[in-house]
Amino acid sequence: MEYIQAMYSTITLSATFRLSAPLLLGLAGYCFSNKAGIMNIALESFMMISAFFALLGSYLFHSAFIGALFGVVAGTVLSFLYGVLVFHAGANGLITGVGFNLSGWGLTTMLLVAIFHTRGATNVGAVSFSPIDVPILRDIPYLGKIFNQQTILVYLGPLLMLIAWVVMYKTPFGVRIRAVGLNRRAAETAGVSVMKYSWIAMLLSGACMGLSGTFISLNSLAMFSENMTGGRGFMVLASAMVAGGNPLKAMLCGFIFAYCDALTLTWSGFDVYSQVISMLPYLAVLLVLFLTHLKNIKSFGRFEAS
Amino acid sequence: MKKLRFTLSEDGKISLMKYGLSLVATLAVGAVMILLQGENPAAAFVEIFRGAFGSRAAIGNTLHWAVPCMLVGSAALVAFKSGVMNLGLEGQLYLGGFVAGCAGYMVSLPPVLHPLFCLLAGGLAGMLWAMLPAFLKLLFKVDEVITTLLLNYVAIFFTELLTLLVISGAKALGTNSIMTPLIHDSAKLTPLIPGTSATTGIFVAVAVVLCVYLLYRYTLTGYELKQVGENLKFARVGGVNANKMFIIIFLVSGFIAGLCGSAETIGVNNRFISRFSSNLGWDGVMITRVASNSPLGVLVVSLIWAAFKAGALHMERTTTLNRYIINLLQALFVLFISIDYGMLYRKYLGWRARKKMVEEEARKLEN
Repeated sequence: MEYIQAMYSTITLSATFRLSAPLLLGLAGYCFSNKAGIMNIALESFMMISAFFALLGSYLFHSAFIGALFGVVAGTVLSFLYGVLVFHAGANGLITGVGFNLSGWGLTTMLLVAIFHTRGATNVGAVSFSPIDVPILRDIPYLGKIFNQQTILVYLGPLLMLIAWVVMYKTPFGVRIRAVGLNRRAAETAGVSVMKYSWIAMLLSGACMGLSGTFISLNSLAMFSENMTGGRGFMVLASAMVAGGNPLKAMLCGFIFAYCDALTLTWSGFDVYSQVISMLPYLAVLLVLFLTHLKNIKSFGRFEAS
Repeated sequence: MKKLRFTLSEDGKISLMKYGLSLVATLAVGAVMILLQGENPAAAFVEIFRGAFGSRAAIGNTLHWAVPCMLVGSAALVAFKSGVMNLGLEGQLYLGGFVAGCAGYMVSLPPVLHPLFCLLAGGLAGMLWAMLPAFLKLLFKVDEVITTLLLNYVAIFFTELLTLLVISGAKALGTNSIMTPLIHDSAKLTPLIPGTSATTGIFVAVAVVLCVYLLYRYTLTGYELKQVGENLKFARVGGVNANKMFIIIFLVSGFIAGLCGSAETIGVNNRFISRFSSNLGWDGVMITRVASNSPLGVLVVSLIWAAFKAGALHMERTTTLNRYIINLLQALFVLFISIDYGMLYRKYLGWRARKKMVEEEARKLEN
């Protein structure tokens, strides 16, 4: 019954908290895009490219924080380019997303080989974020082991999500974003500039995906390898879709998926095919999507192309 | 006597502009990137051309890459022409490849029948994998974009797992060496040009593209499929069963993607190797986009795509550049293509007309 024990061990739960960071950091921005009615599959490329640039920044300036700055700037620039294509040049969002994701794979792998001469860069001399020892947390028996000794990015995740929730539901800005998503024409009539709020939501998601990319390459071990994000951008997308853009619900989804991710780590030592375990996070997302859509069976028969 | 004149319609001009501008922009970006890496862009392009057409082996390589490109391109075309976002081609392709690999070494059949059997089995596997998102969408309205995306990752691990189960016991080999045993010689696609990697798979690929072309050109189903993509409401009023069409689109698309995986398995690798497709499925989406969803366009674009794939490998061997720059440029080209130049052009015309009007008003006021 070591499997069951592993399910609630502090190692798993601590890993859950840690691995929730890339999802939560990204969700804090993408929830606004989702509420504003923007479906963006290019998140994966935002995350991948900013992860690479975060590593590059840290490598060049020997500072994790400058790395994070590089990551955020890269994410914002990417979301700006995506926004120009989709909002102003009439490009199809999904095709643009596919193009971005493939560019992301091509660009990062090309630069990886060109700059570091390898397809998986570790120990290149980049500085990563180091764990923080929080004085009070350290002394709490069970929780201390889970929540203490994490990097600043990990603590930033839930914090940003809470801020996102407050902004979304308690400020005029949040109301306007939601209005844009609910009914564009009504929002326009009420004097809300749809374009302006779509742009803000888009750039926010880019900046936040930049932070989440920074986590991917600079958390505790500074490294980058080909296709390193492994679909986490799509998980951010799925979480926001399941939660309908509500940051608190999205945070819950994020923790569920992070938990499956963490199980992947702790179960991998046991006598079971690693492939079964690696599938878990993706299957969990599919299962959650399936369960939250179960109610739609009633309206069977009305198909709408996306 | 009538004078022959070469004229272009408005649409023709716009699409000429679209491809021309995109090509120039991509080449410019590519040249800058190659210069930054300290190489000569012209020399790199010559190497690519040499690698694609420079010798008999090079032409063989191009033809060999054309097979998966054409197949996955038509798989994507079937879906995207009808506005169905099947982004799970990669996963369907893996399932097809795995089943074809198994059929290749587990079954004994005479030479010509065996490859056909493998292709069919692989196609059916891809089709079954595509059923999953299709039913999730139809029954529960789960967005097919997200399910197909995630199923790609599941497919990679699932086929790896199945491979391990099939070759039983040999567990924990490390992910790099997971593959099925070699297929029988009877299952291999026969070489087309001796001494090169081109196989008879090219006939299968061309046949599939032609079938797709005929489907849209001459059959009622094809017409209905096109209608669903162009105007769903109109199609429904006209009595098209959109649910049925949706299932058909997913099944056909999945089947062709499965064929692509099988062709790679029995024509190139001679066994199923886990993670053998480096984003081939996504190439399909790009190819059909560049071909503007036209089946014959897919034929042409696939050849260009294949030439670049063959040429990029050659370029990597002969220069210090790596082949990922070509992947990047292909994706950039697709991004440039997807800009709606017609809309921008009309916007520009409107802006010019407005400016003219303002100037005239100003002149009137002055007088």
